[in-house]
Amino acid sequence: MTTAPTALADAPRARRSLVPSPSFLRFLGRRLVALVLLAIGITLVVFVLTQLVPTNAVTANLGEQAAGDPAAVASFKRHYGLDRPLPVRYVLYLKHVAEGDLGQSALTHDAVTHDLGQFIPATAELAIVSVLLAAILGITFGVYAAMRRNKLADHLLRVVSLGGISMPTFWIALVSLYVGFYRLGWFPGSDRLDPGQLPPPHHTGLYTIDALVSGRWSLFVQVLHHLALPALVLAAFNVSLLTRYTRSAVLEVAGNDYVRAGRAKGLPERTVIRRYILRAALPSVVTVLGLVFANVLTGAVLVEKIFTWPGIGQYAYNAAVALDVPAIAGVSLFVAVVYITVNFIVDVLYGVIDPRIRIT
Amino acid sequence: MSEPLALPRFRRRPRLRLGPAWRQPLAIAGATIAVAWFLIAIFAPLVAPYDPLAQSFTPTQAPSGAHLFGTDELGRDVLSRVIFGARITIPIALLLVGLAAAIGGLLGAVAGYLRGIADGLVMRIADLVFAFPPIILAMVVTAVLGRGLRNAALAIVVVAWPSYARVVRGLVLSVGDAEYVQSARLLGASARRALFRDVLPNIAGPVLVLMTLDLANATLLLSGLSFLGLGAQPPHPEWGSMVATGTQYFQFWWMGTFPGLAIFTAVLAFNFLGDSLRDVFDPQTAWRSEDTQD
Amino acid sequence: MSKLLEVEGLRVSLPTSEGRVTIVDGVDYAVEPGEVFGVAGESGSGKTISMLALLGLLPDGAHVGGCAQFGGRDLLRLPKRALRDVSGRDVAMVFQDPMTSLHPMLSVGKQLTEHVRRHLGLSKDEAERRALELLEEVRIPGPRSALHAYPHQFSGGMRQRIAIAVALACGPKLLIADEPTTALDVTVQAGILRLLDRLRRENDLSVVLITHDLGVLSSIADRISIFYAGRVVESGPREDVLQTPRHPYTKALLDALPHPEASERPLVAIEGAPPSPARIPSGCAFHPRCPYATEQSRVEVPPLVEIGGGRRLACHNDPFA
Repeated sequence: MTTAPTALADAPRARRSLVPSPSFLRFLGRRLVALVLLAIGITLVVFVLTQLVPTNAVTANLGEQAAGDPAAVASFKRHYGLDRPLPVRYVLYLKHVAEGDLGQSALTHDAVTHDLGQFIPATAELAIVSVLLAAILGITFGVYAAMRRNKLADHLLRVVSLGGISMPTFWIALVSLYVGFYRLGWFPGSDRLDPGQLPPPHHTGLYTIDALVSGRWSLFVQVLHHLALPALVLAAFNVSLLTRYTRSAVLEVAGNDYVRAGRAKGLPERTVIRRYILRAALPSVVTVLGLVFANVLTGAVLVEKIFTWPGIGQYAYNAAVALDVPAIAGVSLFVAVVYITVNFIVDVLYGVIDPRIRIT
Repeated sequence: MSEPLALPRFRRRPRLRLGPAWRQPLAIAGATIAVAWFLIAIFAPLVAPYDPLAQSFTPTQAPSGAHLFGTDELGRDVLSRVIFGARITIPIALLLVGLAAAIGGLLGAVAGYLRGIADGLVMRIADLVFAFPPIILAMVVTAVLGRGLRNAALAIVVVAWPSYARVVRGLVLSVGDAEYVQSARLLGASARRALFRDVLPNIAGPVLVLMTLDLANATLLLSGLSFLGLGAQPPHPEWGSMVATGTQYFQFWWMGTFPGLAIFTAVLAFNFLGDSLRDVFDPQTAWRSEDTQD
Repeated sequence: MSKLLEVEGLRVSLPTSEGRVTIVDGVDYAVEPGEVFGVAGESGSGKTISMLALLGLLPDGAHVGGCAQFGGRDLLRLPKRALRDVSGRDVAMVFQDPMTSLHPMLSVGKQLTEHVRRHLGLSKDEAERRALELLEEVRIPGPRSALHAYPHQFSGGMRQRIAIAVALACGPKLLIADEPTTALDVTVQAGILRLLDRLRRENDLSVVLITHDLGVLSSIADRISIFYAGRVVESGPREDVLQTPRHPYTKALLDALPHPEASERPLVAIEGAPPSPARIPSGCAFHPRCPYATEQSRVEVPPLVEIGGGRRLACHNDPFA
């Protein structure tokens, strides 16, 4: 009385190899198509929103003087297709985006792509450090809370983490700046480097890495010193979020039969926790990382303003306040594309970790 | 910033059972703080010691018996401003969460019920909204609509409705397929009866949880936009914009600390309530206080 | 003949939302080397919990009493570390639902070898050879590719065969199979039972087979214990218990069973429902459902006593004597 195995024909190769299986490639392909469609949707949203902004694009872009010059106005209008119907303008916009032309910022009078290039590294460095901090602390606390379920530590972590997701980021920033900088003087209060300090030679724009590459230890320490407070403030919300998520993911897994089966096999508790519980909880935790990233970008807008951090959060804020349409459009397009790409990577990671996803 | 809500799974026909939530200390604490803020908002003129807009005192006084929270840069009483701030934040948060839930819930229900093209359309739009970090989209929308409290609130509605659409759609789909609804239909219950008796009670719980947690998120986002100067404009005593002023008068810590504390306690109350409610609907990972002795 | 496993006075209580509840209330039984020992009872009768207690697999907060002698040691008093060395090596378990009892993210090969390497100290290659043998032994087609496949690629019956292979990997003396066929299609069930029976004979293995279905036991069990509400109500050799049941509960279970030889006999459902562990009736727990109950049944718990022929019975009245 044997039943045929359902999908043995599709069974993985004899040895685990680095060549992805056809089903994984199909999964990857589907996700990639979804990513591209979503990116096109984003350009549409950004385009529609910019069309709604109640400003005169010509004066905003050319400045008062040039706007008086009919030739300049005409050439500007032709370049951006302002004299054409909306759908044509959208296609033109797409073409410009494809060519890497996001227009010119009314505030800085530079190409938006140039501005983004200037401001992205500061935010990227802050975001990466903060996400790493949040992941390490949050996952650790979450696992601990789950292991001590319903004990005092678990209840304490619940209250503390609820507190963490309830504090306005800009307020923690203010309070920590007041205490850490103004009162105690332990941390610098603003910017990425001490006043007058020249940045390390440019390789990546991430000062930590650039300082290390050029072997300047004291500069590296200085960069970290500047990063510490804003990164911690930015991480606070996400540490709490990840604590809560990891806890419920671990508990969800710990109740499974196969965990009990793993114990019945006589595996050491350490192995059961690592291989049976944490391994299986990992995919659910990984999916939250996309959200964590969105939270960091959101927080960056607020935190950068307080710490006068020269990143795209500040740039976006200045653009929004000044109704600098090309800059707003450029920033939101960039941020949204980065965000969906992060989510794409998270999806793929999920597929790599959990073999069930690849097949279905 | 937001925390997503896991879609609840149905095993058997659930009932709305809020009883256990009220036995939790967190729920009690949350309800107490929330009710306190509601009362403060309603009776602000009676509770506040001074006029929140009157610039009648020595500016930047540290907290004292006369001014418990000190005075601000224009000589206004910070405590009175914090109290009147509740009148701005709390009604707007309630209103915009209600609006987002109504719009999102309706669209989600239609999508889940009709399926097909309507479903595809609503869900793709929701996907697009989810493709932007909330504050970026809210900033762009406020830029389009113009600054101000009302527009900031509208921007948050734009950002917030899709989560309701997703949850309600998922619930309508899963409840519609659930065996007990199918069997109720087979037994001749009319579609409307099925909707009211079986579908709605199932949706009410998770949506209630989402709304409570969203009150927290909306309050944070609203004060964030005001902090950036895109929401409430001076001289309105809005908590977020008061913290923003506090950052400019750094050494006078009371100007920013107390309004921030107000945001924190209000948001904390909503999160305590929402989290306790969620425990009722997702017992697998719930915190329980009764068997801590083991 | 010396016993392989001897359980005496096993008691288990668990914390629940209704307070601490006694699930297993003084259970005695013994398993001989090489036999299939059947444990039958309705769900909630404590049969699964009493087995999980042996390997310390109960949730936190469980209280366990009594003793369980195995190989000269009391499993219930072994330190955690020593119990881990017994688990999987000398005593192995197969669980009810093969869809959930295998780790979805570990390859079949990994799940077959990880405990073998730990318990028997085999090298990676040796363990893998052993895994191949096992897959062949439980009749998995294409064992070499199965080694690198994941559980979700197999049907329920195949997964249960894999779970059995995992359990047998270290050559245990005792296999505890908890409703190993309940989650499977009827046609697959017989195959799994035959497999268990064959493996038992070939490997000099004792099997504790837990089930709610006396029909399952009638084909392969040597001796049977009937559980009701956390206690043993009757035990003895299979033919005796099934052909001349002495406890009214055993009789009622058999009457509720479709019988191929006696198709003219009407099926009789047992009146009432098994009691919740939180509300066990006084005296003999079966008395509210028992047509033979007396005043004594209501107030006094009947002891489990020898009644000759290797049989034991817990009934004041013994109506079928």
